[in-house]
Amino acid sequence: MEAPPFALYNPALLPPDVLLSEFTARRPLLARLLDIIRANDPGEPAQHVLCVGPRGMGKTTLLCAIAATIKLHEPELAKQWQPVIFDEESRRIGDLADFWLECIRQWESETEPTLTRSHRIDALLAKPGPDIEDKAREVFLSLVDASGKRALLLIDNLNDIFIAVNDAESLMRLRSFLMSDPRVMIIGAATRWFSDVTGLDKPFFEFFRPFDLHALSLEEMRECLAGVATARGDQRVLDTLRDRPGSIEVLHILTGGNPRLIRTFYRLLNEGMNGELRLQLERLIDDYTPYHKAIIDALPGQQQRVLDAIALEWNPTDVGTVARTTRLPSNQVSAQIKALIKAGLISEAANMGHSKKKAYLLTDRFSNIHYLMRHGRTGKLKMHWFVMMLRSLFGDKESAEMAAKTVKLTASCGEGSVRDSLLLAQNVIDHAGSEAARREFWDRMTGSPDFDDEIDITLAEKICCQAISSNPNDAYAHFKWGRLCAVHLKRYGQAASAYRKALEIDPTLTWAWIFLGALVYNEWGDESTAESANRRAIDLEPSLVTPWLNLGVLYSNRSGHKNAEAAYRKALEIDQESSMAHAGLALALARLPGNSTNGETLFHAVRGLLLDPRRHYLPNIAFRELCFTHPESLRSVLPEVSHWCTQHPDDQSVLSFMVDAWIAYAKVTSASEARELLDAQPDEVKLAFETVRDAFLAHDDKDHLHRLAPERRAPVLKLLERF
Amino acid sequence: MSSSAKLKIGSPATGDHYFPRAALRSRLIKALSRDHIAFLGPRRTGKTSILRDLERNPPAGTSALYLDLQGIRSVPAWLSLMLKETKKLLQTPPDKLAWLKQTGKGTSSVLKRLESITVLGTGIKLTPGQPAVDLWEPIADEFPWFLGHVAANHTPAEVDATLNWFRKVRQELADGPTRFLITGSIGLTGLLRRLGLSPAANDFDSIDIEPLTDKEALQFLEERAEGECISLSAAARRRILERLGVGWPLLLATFLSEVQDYATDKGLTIKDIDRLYEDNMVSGNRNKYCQEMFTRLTKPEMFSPSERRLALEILRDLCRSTKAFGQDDFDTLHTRLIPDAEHRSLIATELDYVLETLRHDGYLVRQRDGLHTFASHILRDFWRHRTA
Repeated sequence: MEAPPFALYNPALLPPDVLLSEFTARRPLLARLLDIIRANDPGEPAQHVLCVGPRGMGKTTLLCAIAATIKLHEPELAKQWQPVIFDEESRRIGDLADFWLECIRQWESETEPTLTRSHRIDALLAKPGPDIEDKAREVFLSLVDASGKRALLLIDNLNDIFIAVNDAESLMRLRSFLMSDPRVMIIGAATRWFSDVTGLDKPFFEFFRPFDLHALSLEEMRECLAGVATARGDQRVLDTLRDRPGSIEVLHILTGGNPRLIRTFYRLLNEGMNGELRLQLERLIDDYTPYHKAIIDALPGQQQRVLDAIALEWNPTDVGTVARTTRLPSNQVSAQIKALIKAGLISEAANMGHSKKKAYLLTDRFSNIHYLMRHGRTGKLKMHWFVMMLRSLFGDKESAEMAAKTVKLTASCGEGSVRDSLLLAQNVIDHAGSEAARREFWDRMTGSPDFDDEIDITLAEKICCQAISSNPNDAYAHFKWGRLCAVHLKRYGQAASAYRKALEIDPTLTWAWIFLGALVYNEWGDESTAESANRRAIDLEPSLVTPWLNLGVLYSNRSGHKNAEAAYRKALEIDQESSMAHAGLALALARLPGNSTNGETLFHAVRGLLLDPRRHYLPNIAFRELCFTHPESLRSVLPEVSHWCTQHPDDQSVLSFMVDAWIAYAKVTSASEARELLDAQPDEVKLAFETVRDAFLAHDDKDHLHRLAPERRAPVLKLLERF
Repeated sequence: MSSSAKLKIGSPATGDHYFPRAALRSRLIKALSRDHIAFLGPRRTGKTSILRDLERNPPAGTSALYLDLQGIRSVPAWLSLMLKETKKLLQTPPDKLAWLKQTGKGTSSVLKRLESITVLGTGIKLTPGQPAVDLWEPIADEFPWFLGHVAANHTPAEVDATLNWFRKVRQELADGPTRFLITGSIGLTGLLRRLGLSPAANDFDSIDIEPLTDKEALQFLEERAEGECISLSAAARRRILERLGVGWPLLLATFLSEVQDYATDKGLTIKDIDRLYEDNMVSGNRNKYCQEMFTRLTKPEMFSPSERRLALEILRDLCRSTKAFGQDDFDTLHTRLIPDAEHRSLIATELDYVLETLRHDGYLVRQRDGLHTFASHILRDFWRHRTA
């Protein structure tokens, strides 16, 4: 069966049962509104309601859900109330007479759906103009009375109707009617708070019970996605929600919890979310572009310029800044901002801390992100680094290896598919084009430092067992089985046996010696076997640095740091550029009796990091341990490695480490000094670490938080927690 | 105790949802027994709810007639409405007027006398018959607003004629049992001033609507929380009142509505209440209201430059004061702005006018002891921030 449409912009197109089955995130509000309808006693004036939320926040869907719930699930309410949904854009309304005529039209559309022409309206239109309003109201109320129900008017864009009526006396009459006649209740919706309800001198000042349609929280967003996925049977989305919490968190920040955008994103989740997050965001933006472009294109030229300046600034910005950027006079900028606010495209920042200067930002936050992605190189770069920073803060690793993915996906299709997936895996192992490709596949399926996070352990175990069973003399299969047992299954005895078996079959399998040494040393403290295993590996491949590094670790703990120092120096002899050797040597030197952290120690710690920032184990540990409290060392590394980050924009781990390093520098100096150092770096570095810079600023001036775009505030707060 | 009272925000609270205001009601009834009354107060402070209650439950031996003047465009329309509603009342008299039929004094004779109300061009002629009831009270809701519309659609002179006629009628009826109770959120004095008319036309005794007392406010919160099944401890209710600083039903109900949206099974802590106040009441929707209140003071039609300076100074000083302001405080402030006594005497009414406007427009509230405070802490806190 074909899945129902998403109806992103026209929820009324969805069949009521489908709409309700997917209506998850705002159920508490729906229940509250139904309670309010229920609490309206017959004969008493009704409680009228206004729901306000920016575009895409689910206003129309909410109104449709109210009507659908009453029709399908609330028989008692259905006996008393006739829901009448107004068209989203009621362009027919120009005055109060039109409003009542529209009430008749919509009532007839609900209660007499086959009617093609309204004779009631025709008859009313034939009456003299001044009489139509009263007569139309009477006709509408007679229809209501005849039904034995009350009218529940569900009016989207209520603000537009008030603007169209545009007459205080007419609105006073409407207010007077609604305050006294119990037969009509209005639940309205609007994209923003508007002067007709906020203005003290306006008839409808604080007349409605207000509800803000807030952006969905992270939890609500998960519920929303899970609800839609469950209703549609989309297992892939449910898997993503379970397995990739970091990505979901990042997308919550990027979509700002806007339900329409979340639903747009749903399609992406369902169709696959395998690649680079930035590319996925671009796909999302492609979906969004027609909607956004239509809004912007409809603006007059000067308003487009002002909007462009505010959008590219990203954080809330003041009139002066916009005037400078656009080279327009301030008064013109103010006038255009006023018009953009009226159109709901720009909002005044709600809270700018102690600053009294008004600042403005795009109301729809995703529009801003859209704008940055699509317009201007700086905007794109800004977004790129922002996304990278989010990934660094919220973490998530992605796999891209298609063969491994195919095997895993096949295995996940149910019990019967596991056999197919094992056959497929064995096929790859047997027929890989080269030993390197075969080992790459082994790594991806059964683990390696790069892929340990992604393997399906049960599947990996089956693949190893099948490979060994299929070819008991496959030394590499035994070796990988040993590693799987040691690292993932924690079956150390089996792991040692597997390594020994691998070495029995192929005693030249250097890495099996190395892993055996590490295992016996780490698990049983068997220094002797560990030492001899690493020595054997050295004999087999004297140019390998790793056994020396392992010996360095072993000696650090056993026979004093002097031997460790010698092992690391030996490693450096083999490879002067070994970051691990520099880092290990730094730690060994630092731990020599009577030695304090001296220049040589710091040199190796710094060198270890600078040589290869990607190696984030020992060099990072050494640098963290020895240099994070040492301003000079930090200062010697921060510019270079930060710059390195800009040249390797997809290396998340180093970026993450450098964020820590910047914060460490701020801690040992001050936030302002750290910011000065950051400000002294080239533009690309400043851009990459803009969020860190914001955190430095916010640390010294909490008001800075208020000056940030809402989606930028979340990561800054996260960074501030680390201070 | 079990309450079925629900939150009513915006629409008048009627039936079970109305919070009875016994003290204010007795004050109004007592005042009406003496004279016609103007019942005044800022918008959304619950005047209409009280009037609806008076209409439905008039004092024994009386009958009340509620006239909603919102949307009425002319004096004839007002009088026609009054005539129509009076006829309706007398044709289907409530139990209290059953004696009309029983004593054989048919309603027709009463109506005949009422039908002699006539409107002649710009002048108004009334032949008031004394309605044969013990006491009847036409209640004219939004009366000053109606007069404003008359002025806008016709002329200020017509408003003047209307008010003079109305005053004459009231004087003629002064010794009889009929009383007029007019209400509105716009001060009559201010309106007359804006229209350039003599304040003499306004001879109403006025009663200002007051916020609920602390005891009433806590009861209001308790009953509505129960009616809405909101778990709210006594301490939390007290905290709500402390934070709002004033017991206007609309503010209490709005705060409760925020609590309802936030409510957890565990109930709310004082910290939660404080957070809701800061985030939702001060910085949420209400913030737009406060902003509106702030900017509207600059509208030229509201105050002259000198009055505006005085109004801003009053609000700036009061928002930072730990105590309420009395007449002496206002006089001192006025003297500070206009040190020259002679100059001050020339604009003697300025201070009174500014204070009255600030009260009617919901900036200030006059307490029972005559001292003035901000109408709510929400507005006070906003003012502090904006004038820091």
